[in-house]
Amino acid sequence: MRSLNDYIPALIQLLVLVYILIRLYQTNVWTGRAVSVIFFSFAIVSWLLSDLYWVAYDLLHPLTRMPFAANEIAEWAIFISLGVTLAELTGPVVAPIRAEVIGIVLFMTVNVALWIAWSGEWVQDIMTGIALAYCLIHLTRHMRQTGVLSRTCRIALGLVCLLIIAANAATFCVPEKYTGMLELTAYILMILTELYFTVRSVIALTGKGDRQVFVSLSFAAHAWCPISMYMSSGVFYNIEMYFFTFSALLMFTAIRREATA
Amino acid sequence: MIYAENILVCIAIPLIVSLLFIRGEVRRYLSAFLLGMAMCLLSAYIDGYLDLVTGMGGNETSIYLSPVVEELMKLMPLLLYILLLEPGERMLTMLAVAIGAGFATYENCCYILTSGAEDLGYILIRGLAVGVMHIVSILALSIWFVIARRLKVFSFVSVAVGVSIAMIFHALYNLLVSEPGISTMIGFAMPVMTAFLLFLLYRRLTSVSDDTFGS
Repeated sequence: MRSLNDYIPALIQLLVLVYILIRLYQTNVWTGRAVSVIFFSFAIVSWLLSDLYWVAYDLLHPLTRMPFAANEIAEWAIFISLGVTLAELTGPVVAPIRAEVIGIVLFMTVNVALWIAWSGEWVQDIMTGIALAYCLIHLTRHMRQTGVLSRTCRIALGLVCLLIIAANAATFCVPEKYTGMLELTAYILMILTELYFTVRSVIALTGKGDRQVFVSLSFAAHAWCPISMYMSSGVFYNIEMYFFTFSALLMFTAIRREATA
Repeated sequence: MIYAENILVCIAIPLIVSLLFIRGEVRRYLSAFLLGMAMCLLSAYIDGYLDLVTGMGGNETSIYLSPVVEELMKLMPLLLYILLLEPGERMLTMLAVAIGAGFATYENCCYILTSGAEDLGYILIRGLAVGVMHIVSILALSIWFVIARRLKVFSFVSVAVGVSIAMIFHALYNLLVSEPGISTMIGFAMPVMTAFLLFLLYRRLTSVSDDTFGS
């Protein structure tokens, strides 16, 4: 049986999502950014329903695995909706991102392979991978357009992704006494990267910079969360969950600024 | 064990005969209502097949998999209608309501024949909850299609996002009512509350959009 403490991250997230939905309801969606605001609202509704489903299932059937995780359908909807939100905000693309798209496809393919190795759910993991890749491609396009990451940062991010994947993949083939160390390395890298995007988002929020830069950073902070969460467990999962919740507030602020500008 | 096809034939024949004597919107409504009932039967067939293939068992299939199947089956006629005939906004929402109502009616008929109808109170609550749930999910979807067409973003992605939300809403309802107690009460209240929220949202969207779009 789970204790109340186990539900606190999810309950805080639910409250934040309800708050965001109420504020979105008060926003005039028929602005020049109508499509972005509506798809962002869809992402939040899907997220809320997904969380409610997870909490309800866990309360009704504690510590049992879902026969079919219907909330994953909502997660696909979240990623696709956020992808469309970003696509609408990006507009016509100038900078080519062929190399980045190849990188994302490879990164997501390895991620999906790891998820399948951990859970054994082929269809759901592949679908989640496709939806998340769709979101990441639009995010990368938006980030290139705003020039928010320098070339050095992009290479560093690529290396971090490579190290995280390598550390997680190595846990399957090294002796058991080393797996804890490898997992810890991956957790630290994931949390540091999350921290980097979150801090830069907060700086962009408080400064008087370009609104689109804030959009890029807040969505990047958000997109990094599921990647990390799906590879985490225990206390690290909860830390990522708090980042996830906070990034939702950042994204909402960014979208609201765009809609009311 | 019930003979679902026979029940459908029995209910549908008087309605099909009445189609000969009515015209206009009423005829379209009734046709969509019949289509909704047929879709419910097809969903039951697919659920049965999935039950066999996955080995999940009838109860778990109906709780966890049937929301996905049922929402997809309700979407099919609506989507075909939009793509082939490009109906007006009012007609689209009206037909969505008819499909949802037909689906819920037939599902309720089968439920009553399987589980009995002695307890009027429970039947009333269930009838209201299932009826509203099927209508709300497809009505919300049709309203989204109307908005998406207005904004010129009606595409595979917008349909996929809309139907995914309908699926998780339906799945949450099924999960809540699957266990007796407080969760069932919350589950039965959920469609009615959602209908109210949808009404508020629709009124707000249309009042603001009328100024913006001038329609």
